[in-house]
Amino acid sequence: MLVLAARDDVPARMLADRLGEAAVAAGPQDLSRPGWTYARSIGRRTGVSCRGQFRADGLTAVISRISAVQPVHLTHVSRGDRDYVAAEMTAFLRAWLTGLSCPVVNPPTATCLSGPALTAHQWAALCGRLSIPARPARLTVPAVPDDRPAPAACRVTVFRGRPAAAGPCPAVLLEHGRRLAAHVGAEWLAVTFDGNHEQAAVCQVETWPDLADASTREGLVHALIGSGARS
Amino acid sequence: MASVLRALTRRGAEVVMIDQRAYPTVTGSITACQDGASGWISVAGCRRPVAEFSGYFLRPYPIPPRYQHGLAFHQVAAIDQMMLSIAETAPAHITVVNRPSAMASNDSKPAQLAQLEDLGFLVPDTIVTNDREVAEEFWARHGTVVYKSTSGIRSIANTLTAADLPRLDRLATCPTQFQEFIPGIDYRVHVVGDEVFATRIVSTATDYRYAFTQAAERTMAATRLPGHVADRCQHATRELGLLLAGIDLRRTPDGDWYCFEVNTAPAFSWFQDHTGQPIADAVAALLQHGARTGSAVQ
Repeated sequence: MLVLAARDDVPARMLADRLGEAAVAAGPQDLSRPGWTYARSIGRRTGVSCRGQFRADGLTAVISRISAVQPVHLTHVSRGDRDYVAAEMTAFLRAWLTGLSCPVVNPPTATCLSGPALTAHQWAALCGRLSIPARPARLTVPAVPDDRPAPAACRVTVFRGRPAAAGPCPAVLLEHGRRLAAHVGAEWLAVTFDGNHEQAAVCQVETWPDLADASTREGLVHALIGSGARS
Repeated sequence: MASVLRALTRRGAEVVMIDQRAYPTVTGSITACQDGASGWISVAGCRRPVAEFSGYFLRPYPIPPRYQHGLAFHQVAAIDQMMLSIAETAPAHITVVNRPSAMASNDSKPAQLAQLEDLGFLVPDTIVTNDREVAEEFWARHGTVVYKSTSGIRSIANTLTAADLPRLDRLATCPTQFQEFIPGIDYRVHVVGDEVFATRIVSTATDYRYAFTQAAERTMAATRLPGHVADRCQHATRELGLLLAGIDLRRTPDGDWYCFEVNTAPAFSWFQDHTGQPIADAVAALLQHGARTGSAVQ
């Protein structure tokens, strides 16, 4: 498994440690180790970590924790070139991560390397188009603090199209979660509803697993192992 | 932007111009919920409900340098986010040229090239690598190779030569895009809704956009595409979620048509100035009335 993360991403390091020998960790600095190649054919794509070169078609899963390569992560590059190199590396990774045959949490979109990066406003609008109940999301300039409490009564997590909830949860809410994940192409997605009844509305959507949370981390490890990835 | 604004004005359209350089004068509030979206935008004190807008034309640029620090940056970034969110979530009957997520498709040229190949275009063999040996093997295999930027940052496409050999050790720092050289005549195709405007470019430069800096010649003329090529361009534009696209094609001596890129915020004014094609008028018509059914090839 590949854990793609910046060196200062401590939760990602915790996941990599948990996965042990089965995981290779690579980040922006590693993209300057010779041996990275993108080609249309996945069999010709290669990457490099501190443990050496690896093939994309040999990966059993990818956990992508980089939304875009940032100039701040490129201290080994001359200052005047960092913005350009960051953009080039981001473009490279987007192509490299696209179309892999293994699970990618989460596959890159045109705007984010680690899956759909929608605002609360955009999630609410999407729910509207999919006829999924959602709490209104407001965007104001200048910003106005949202003082409304955000009840979190039911949380549905979807991995590879299979929804699950920790506690009681009507089937319709599981289906809402599954449909949202399918629509945005996310391998992993979590939806929080403001109730655990059938008319509950979406109040938050996450596409970034909180790896600092032990239960989320373990859940992801077991889900990846269950999907065929090894640890 | 200016040419579209003039065209809209000639057509008597009511236009609200939001200039990023004047951002601090912009305020607004938008709300999305399961029943739709509502809200308002205010520019220099003039408030308009978003429901009044029938179309959006986007030419976003990075935040201007004078706003890139402190409180000003956060406010300007918030305005950017609000405007992009309005465009992204506008209902289907609102004409958006183009939605932000669709505009991002060519921020990774190799990723977009893969999409174009899946949509039926011939595309040049392409690798992106920071490995000198891989680059040299690719070069040896294809004989003539071009290198260019991988991201949406504009670069000058150059042919790899022996003079570049000493520089190949610097590849390690950052993966670089290499493509097989495709000989032939360049075509730039602007798809505007249902309309297609094709320009034939003859140049001795590797990158015709920089013909004069490369001491090369260039001629440009409006032309008509074969029907199947025009259809493919329109199909690709729709599949990429775009209403306006600038497509770079090359026709080989054998008659094959290769696609290099679909520009999602094309600088069509330059082509319009050289050929007289009414591209800005077509964009204005699209914003006012949406895409017509059927197709028109010009």
